[in-house]
Amino acid sequence: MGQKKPTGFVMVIGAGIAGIQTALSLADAGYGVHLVERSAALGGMIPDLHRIYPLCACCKLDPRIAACEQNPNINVLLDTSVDDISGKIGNFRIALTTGEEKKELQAGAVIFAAGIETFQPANLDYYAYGSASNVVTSVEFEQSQKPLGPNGGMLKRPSDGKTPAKIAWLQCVGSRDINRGDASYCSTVCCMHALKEAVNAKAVNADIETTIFFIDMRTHGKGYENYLNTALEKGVQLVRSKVHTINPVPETGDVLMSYADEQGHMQEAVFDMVVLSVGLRPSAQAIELARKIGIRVDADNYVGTEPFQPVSTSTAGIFVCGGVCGPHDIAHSLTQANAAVAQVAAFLDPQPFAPALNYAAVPAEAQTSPGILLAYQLCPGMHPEIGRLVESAAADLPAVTDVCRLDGDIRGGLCEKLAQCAAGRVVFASCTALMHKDSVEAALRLSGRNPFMYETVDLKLLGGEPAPATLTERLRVGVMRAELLSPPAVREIPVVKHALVVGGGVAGMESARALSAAGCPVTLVEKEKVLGGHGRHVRATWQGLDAQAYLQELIRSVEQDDNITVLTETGVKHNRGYAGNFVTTVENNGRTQEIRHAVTILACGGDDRSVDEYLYGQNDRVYLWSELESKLVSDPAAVENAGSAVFIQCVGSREKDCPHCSNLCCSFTVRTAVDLKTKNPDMKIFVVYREMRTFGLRENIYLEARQKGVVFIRYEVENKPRIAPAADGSGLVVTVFDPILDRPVSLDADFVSLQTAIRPTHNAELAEIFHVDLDADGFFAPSPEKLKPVDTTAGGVFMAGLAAYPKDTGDAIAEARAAAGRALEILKQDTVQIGGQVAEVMPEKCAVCCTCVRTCPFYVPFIDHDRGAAYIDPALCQGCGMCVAECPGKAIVMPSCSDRMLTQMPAALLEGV
Amino acid sequence: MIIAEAKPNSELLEMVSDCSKVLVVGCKGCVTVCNVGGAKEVGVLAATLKIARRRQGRTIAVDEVTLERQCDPEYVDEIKDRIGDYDAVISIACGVGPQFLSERYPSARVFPGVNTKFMGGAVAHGVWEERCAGCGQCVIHNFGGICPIARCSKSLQNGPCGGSDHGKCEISKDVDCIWDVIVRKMMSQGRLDELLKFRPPKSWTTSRDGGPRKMIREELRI
Amino acid sequence: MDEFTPRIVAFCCSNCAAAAATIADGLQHVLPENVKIIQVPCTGRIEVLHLLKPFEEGADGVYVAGCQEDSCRYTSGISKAARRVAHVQKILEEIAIEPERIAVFNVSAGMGHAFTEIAREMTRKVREIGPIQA
Repeated sequence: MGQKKPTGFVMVIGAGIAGIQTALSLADAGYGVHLVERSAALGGMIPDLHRIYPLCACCKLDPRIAACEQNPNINVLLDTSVDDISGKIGNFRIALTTGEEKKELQAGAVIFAAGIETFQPANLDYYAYGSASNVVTSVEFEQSQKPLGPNGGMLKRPSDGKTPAKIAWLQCVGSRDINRGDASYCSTVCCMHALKEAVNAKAVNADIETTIFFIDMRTHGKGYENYLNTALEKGVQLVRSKVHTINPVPETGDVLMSYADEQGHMQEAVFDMVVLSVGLRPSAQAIELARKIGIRVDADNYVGTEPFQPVSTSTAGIFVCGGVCGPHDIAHSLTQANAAVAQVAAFLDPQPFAPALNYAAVPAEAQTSPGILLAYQLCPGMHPEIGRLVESAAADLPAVTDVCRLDGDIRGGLCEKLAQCAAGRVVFASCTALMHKDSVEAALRLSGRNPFMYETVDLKLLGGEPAPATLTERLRVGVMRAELLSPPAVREIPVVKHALVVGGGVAGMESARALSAAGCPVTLVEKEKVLGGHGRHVRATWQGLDAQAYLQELIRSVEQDDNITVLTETGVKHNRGYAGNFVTTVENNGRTQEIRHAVTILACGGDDRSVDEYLYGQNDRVYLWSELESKLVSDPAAVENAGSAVFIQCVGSREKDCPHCSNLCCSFTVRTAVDLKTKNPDMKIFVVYREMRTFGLRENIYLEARQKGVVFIRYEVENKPRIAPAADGSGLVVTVFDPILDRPVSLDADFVSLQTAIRPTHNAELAEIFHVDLDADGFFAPSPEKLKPVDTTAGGVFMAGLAAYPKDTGDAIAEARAAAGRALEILKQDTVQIGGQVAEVMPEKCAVCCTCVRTCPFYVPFIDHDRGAAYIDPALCQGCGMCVAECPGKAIVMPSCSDRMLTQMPAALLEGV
Repeated sequence: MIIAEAKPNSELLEMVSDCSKVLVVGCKGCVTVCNVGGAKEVGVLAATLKIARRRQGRTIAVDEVTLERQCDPEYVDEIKDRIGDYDAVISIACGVGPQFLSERYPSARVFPGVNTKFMGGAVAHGVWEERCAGCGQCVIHNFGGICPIARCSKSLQNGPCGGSDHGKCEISKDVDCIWDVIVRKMMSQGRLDELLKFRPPKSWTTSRDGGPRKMIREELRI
Repeated sequence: MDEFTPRIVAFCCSNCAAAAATIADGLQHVLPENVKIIQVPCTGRIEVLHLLKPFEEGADGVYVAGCQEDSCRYTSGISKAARRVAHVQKILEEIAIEPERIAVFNVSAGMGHAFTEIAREMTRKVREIGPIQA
């Protein structure tokens, strides 16, 4: 692929979730990776967490840690600190100390993923942390919720072990606090963290009163608003207030909170315990190292990045991801990790430590062996009784020849067990078993078994109390399904070294450019005449950088790239095939062509929705925000010279018919207000909002806006602002009920900008064509395997940009490069194994009646006259099974969903009713 | 191929009302391809009979077999060892099948499970049309390759009757007047005048009018 | 006598299964125990015999849950299934069994709640008809 680049290893510093993911992805793409961790274990912060939204944490991290430890291309160095980095891009020398031993390693690229720490609240004496034992940090509280934690998962308060009946969370402890919290920024994750802890406390006992004291509820991520709404339904209470003082009640151990409500009245409330939602800080040691090696560190003490190069440091060849470059949530950290992989691939070709893993050839007897291995994994949260129940249920199932319990390392444990037994099939039982299918398939491959001969049994709903009847029934059905499996043929097919990117906006172009830089030819398909997408309306990033100059440069570089074929005014019609070998039909002005490609990146964009409220469409002083931005690009003076402006947030957004939060609108408004105020300090600017969601470092511009005199007024969705033309005809008047003044106020406005919801534009159509799922809000749904933020539900199909979820330019660029990084993991392979769910013709039974030819929805079967039978290309078969059902002679079979299965299942299932 | 359609299940149920053990025999020939008498339909009929009996509070044993063809004695022979086990046999081949079975197994009660309809082909998946009446003396070359005997409601050989209405036959708006089709075809080929040619009356002795038909080919006989 | 609990077999496509998996996240939307699921890649895979087998094994009702007609990822799977269900209804009628014991439902992707609602609706309907065997 492409011209010659230097080859080299990669050094990853820090083995939290971001570092682990980077190491795994790089190793999958063929690089030898040194993974350096200063502590004694891999995992970083996550082992301290009980659950990661929305599932528990344990089973996501453990397989990744095991994969790192087992991968011959990952050299794990624990208890190791980095002393210095010298050299330059392509040839870094890294001085390390492991224990007492000093050594030096070489790498072509360095990824800085050295992580975060939490704020230590001890010096905030008004919060009584350290003096009152029932005041704990959110991290300590979550540890106590862990089933394997000190309390065995039982909620107990520290002072007397009593189960708390009333718990309060205090938000923004060490965040959004420039006095003693010494951090002006928002830590991004704490709102979701508190909600999650409250919901989990309610899950233990719904009667526990949970109250969160907050300033703004920031649930701006994909699916987060929905989580907030569910939490509210479950009875989690929210109180909008910055808590003033916490005082222990000495006799009871309870905690008395004094706070001002929104109207400024002092209130008091007593809680059994109080949780301080502590903010995030970059790892101090990491920042010290960054300064030492001359990497730019920003004013908030994070490693500095800029939005158009979101994972690059100030030193070429050193990249950054995760919490060390900003307070990021896990999904964003993982996105950055994948983006860093694409960045490395752009200038460095892989140098492995060891050749890629070879899969053993599948011996015929192992393929057909009817023996079943029942392997189960229990989460720490599960009742210990479940293990015994599984074992005894297995003893009653004659088809089960072997049973084993797996802990943490699913792939390794399964391989070990399969090496000792003759079973040809596996039934894998765990919480959310589907999530581990990659590990199970890999273990089957590595053990010389057919990788499709397995079934999963979900133990999820059995988390709390064991229900023997349900458990036994599920295992019985799972084992029966495994018995009825027929081994499908497995074939190796070459990977088509080509990528398809759908959508020519910022995300699509960035993905294409990243893939091209890594040496992969790309076809970029855009529906419109010109490239740019929604990016054409964006004036500036939230940091205030010129987005148009960036966009023009991006378009130019894409158009001039010989490795990128740009097809404008082109739509996608049809797609078939597998990861590694897709065929997509595209159409341009009635002419169609077929593109063969290994991966697809869906970056088909989104737009701000139009509304029919607030006089939009009736008064030309009312703009949608995209229109205002366009005007600021084309005719800025017209806007800048206005005397007054009102920005209304959450228009047609976070309401019943469009419940998601559009993430970037608050930052857009604040950025625009700051810039207008800078140009025209006399301009009166009002922002009418429901929650200000200037998360992360964006909080700094919110502060700047207030300092510049922008006025922020909150409204409730039940009492929306009203808008009317001014009596003198000169402008508009917006009337809003101010909760602090406790009365309506009227605001004059020369223009009004409506921040409406961002919604995907082409997702429904493309989801159907590319066989991926949508989430409840119409964005592409993430992979059910979780912690793969740019993977869709279909293998080899990735997502980026507004089609995945609303986000600003910088985040869209990171995501686009992440999608490219994930895609490269497939593109760097030479072959893929396919099989599984495909239909196959048995030539001796085929009456060449043409039924399959006529009824296949994808026109795959044809009559092969040399064979005297119909033929179905397994690389093209979509696996619907329609021809199998139609074939009058029963000459077509589908091992993954056989007639035997369908006719025998009912009897076996009904046995259990 | 020969096209047949399934008899109503109520009729079949009535036929076997006094039986407790039945064999359903399918055929892998024409009736498989027209989705009425292959292994699939054997399975469906067996299941249907069992469900119906279950509903009545009675049981019935139904076995299934699908022969390569029911119109060749060797294949019919394949069930000789088990035919005595059943109260009745339902053949879902064309009308030839149940007769071959009852001739080969004189003591067995053989029921036809399908109604044999015609000789035709699939014009689309799930749609069959008649094309041949088996008259024993093919004349389609005189009619643009289209058979008026099988496809004209009156089997007219000398042009449309007064019931031809805008290309449709008077019996139904869904039936083409085949003479309309023939005339257009001949016109398009510029051979309309050939239809005016005098032809002697067709001999129907090669058709059913000559009685049951039999064919012997000496060069093939053993 | 206890209320009659119909034994029901449901064939559902992987799309619906995904919907079912999402509901498993919220405990309150569990599928009723009397409904047993057989998963197929697409409802177009289901044959007439497959729909009859559960009745033969004593099921009181059968249903197919698939995509919306216009959003089947295999384009025509659910419409094929609907035709086959109609054919089985005809067979049931011919043998004096209530054709309402079999039905077809369309579920939108991601509609977990609808999926359990269907299971309950079918249970209600079949309970009204009564057991298949007196």
